[in-house]
Amino acid sequence: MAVASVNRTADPILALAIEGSSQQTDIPAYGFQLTDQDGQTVTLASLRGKVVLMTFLDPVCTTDCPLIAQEFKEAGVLLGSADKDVELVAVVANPIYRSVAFTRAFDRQEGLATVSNWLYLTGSASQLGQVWNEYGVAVQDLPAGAMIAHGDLAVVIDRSGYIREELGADPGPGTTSTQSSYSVLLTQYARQALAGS
Amino acid sequence: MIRRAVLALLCAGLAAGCGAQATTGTAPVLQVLTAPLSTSLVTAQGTWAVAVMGGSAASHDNFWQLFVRPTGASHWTLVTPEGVADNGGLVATGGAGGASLLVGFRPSQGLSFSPLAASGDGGKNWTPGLLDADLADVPDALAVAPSGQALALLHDGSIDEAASAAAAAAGQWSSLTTLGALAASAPGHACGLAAVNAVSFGLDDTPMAAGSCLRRGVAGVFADSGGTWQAAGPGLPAAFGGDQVQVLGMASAPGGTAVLMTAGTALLAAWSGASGWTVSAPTATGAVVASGFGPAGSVWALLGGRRAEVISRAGGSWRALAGVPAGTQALAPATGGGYDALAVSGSRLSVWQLTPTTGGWARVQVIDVPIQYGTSS
Repeated sequence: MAVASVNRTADPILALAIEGSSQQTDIPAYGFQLTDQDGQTVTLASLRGKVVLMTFLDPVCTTDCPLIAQEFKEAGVLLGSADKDVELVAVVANPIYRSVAFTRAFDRQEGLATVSNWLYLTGSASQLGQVWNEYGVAVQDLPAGAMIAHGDLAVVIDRSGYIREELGADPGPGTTSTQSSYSVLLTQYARQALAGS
Repeated sequence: MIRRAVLALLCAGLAAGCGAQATTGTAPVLQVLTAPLSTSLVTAQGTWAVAVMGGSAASHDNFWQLFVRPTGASHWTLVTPEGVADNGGLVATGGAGGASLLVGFRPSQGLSFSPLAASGDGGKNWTPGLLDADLADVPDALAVAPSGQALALLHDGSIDEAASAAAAAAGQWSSLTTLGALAASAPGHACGLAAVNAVSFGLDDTPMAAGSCLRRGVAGVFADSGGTWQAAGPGLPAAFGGDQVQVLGMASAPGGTAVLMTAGTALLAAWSGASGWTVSAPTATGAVVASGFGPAGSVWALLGGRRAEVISRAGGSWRALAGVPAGTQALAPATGGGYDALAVSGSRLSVWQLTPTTGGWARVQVIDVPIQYGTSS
């Protein structure tokens, strides 16, 4: 993988410099009902009581999505014991390659199959389209052998189901300087959400 | 023709020959040759062609495209399945008796598995599928039998199988064999199998594999007979007894199988049938730029220097076509025994046809492909 091991001293300012400032919010998160990588139904309501770090990933993406997944995985590591109160969630961002077989393949590829608080959620094209729309993530099918274009977004949802932060999810250039800065930023927001509840 | 960077040194795969040569300190060496992915194939739905377009591979601006000329039509259409970045290459094969097409996306960059796409309507609509493994970088890495059973040749030389099209779509593949196991089988041992370069189905849906042999004069073609691999290749004329033989391509053909292979500096085609194998006369190979199979077992090869050679089934001899247009990536059989040449320049595909009167190529169609530059970088 392009992302190396966790850099615990990474500066989240780098992630902010890449993405621009995050946006604090206080709005109810859309209450989805989707299917996880084990075929189980998951609703946002079923995650109530935990802080949810959520993003949108294309399981057959060749560039940013694997990097973002690694940053989420690293955020879980950085959270330490607080990890048990945080759910790491991705929603499929591909209207075609969206079956559970693909979320499982992606999890194996990224070493996420054994991460206990990782959920990679999918659903029908209409279910996914509704979630993308509600969270403001544009997903576009491009022609001629290009990958699906989708917005890079991550949200921090507090224990009560309110979105507390919205931030770009592009992990940036993946240089030594930026590695893990995004996961440090996610960790920071997760801790704030945990402390605020 | 692609020369794999690693030289194959497989003493373990040889019988007496390796040991004998090892005693002299000259272990057999083989530089494995494989065909590039640009190719064409013919199914009941039409004629399909795979070509790479766009910009440089180094900057991930090379996008592979799939075109179809529907049966009975004279023009080509872009039908590249959507949803996956295909910078790693496309592999296509006809399935279900030619009534469908299965396409595999080779993984690239951060992707380590191979999405699939199947179409039963000439590329208008696609159904996604999954091969949770790294599909090999050869044009005949996928095969589908009339029954729907599928084979996939992987990058490490292993072969996976799926029982049906539905199983393939659901990612339910299992291992049929590995390169090591096939090399250790009796026929693999006898040929000194160094690499598997193609898979196909023979008569009665028999899984077949073909590759490169260290032992000289032996064509490595194998058939899986009830779980046991057996030698199934042609015997070559004695003139090739001193040449290492490498199969570049293999496809189902009426009544059996067609293969394209190199033997030393010669290029040969061979066809199996009820009375055994028929091997063509040789033609000088040079670098094989692309190759493919047509209806009724015909074979074409693009060679260096814009040379093109074609051959029809059994009894035919290689026929040189007029020098192909610049940028030609693939030939495709046309009606009346003619050929189309598909030439690429950036994002433009030009289709050329041989004109019977002059014997030269005339451009008959241009397709400007909306390459999404920069989307994979």
